[in-house]
Amino acid sequence: MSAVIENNREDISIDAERIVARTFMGRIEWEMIVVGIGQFLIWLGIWFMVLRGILPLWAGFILSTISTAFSYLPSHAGQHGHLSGKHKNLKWLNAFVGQISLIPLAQSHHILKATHMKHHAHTNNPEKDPDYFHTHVDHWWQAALNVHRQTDGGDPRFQKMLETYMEEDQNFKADIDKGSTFALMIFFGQMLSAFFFPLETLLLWWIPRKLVASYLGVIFSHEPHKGLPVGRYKDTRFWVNGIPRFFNHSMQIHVMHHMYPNICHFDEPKAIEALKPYMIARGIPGAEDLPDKISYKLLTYK
Amino acid sequence: MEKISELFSNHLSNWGLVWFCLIFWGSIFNAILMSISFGETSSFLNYAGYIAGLILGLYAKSKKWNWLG
Repeated sequence: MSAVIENNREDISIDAERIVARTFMGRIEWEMIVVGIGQFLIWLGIWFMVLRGILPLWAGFILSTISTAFSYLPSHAGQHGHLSGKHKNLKWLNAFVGQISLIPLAQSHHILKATHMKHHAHTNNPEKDPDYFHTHVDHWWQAALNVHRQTDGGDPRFQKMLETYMEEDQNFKADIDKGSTFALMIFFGQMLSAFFFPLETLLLWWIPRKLVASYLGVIFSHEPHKGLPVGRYKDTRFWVNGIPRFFNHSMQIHVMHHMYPNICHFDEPKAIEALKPYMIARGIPGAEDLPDKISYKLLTYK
Repeated sequence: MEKISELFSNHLSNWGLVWFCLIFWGSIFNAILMSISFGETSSFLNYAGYIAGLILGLYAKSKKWNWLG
């Protein structure tokens, strides 16, 4: 890997950029499998401890909110095929782990996959990017509120976009149809859960997932993309908010994901270090201020 | 079978939020009412939470408050 990077250090062509980027692709992102299954088991454990009276409900609420914050990224990794890597016989892992991981968030993996692929194909396009309506707003709190109109289908502009994609794209329709079955199970599951364990369902499931959806809207969409135009090297930026990168699920370096979605989340820091010259040459917002080493802590600018 | 599935799907598209508010929020309101009521509970109190949930659902449907789901 390092030899490939060294050989292409002087060449900043697109071909050289791709050669370097490819050295970071193809592995199974086992970390995301552990996070996906692990956070779901922790969430179940919180339920168990609260229902058995081992853990007070207020403490369960705090722990469940933290645990649920980890539920989206494993599904996201599955949406991009990171959980199976280049192993075609393991493709089932992407949807299997992705869906289990999303139960605390009460979302369907296939529906999120369908819309997320369109987000990648049309980032920041007001007519075609499903995330546009909560991303391009004036304040972070608007992103935190608007994201719920997307996840719950309440935004007519988002609905119209979905209908257009359903008519035009058979793969998109197939994913939505596949995901609808699980969405229905989640819908009834929540009602059943509330009927038998009302306050627990409110404080361990409903409120945590709403808070986390807001967090996702702000940190995963609004901050990396707000106010940016359409364009492979222009649609995402490096950003800082004074909080260590780790506590933002590394979304401060989300630009790497948009540049090469096939690079696993946990490999992005190394990939950025190798691709930094290309990022600067392409004019990616914030790339010129990047440190040479991407640490686990604060994404400090020079 | 396909017709029934389509009818069911259409019904949920239109009335899913109301059903959700009736059962989900109704159960929660009911639990809150039970926990704050002292002494003997009247039969009305057993249903008041669900009535509140239904009213909330109908209002949410008219206001398109899908975030309640």
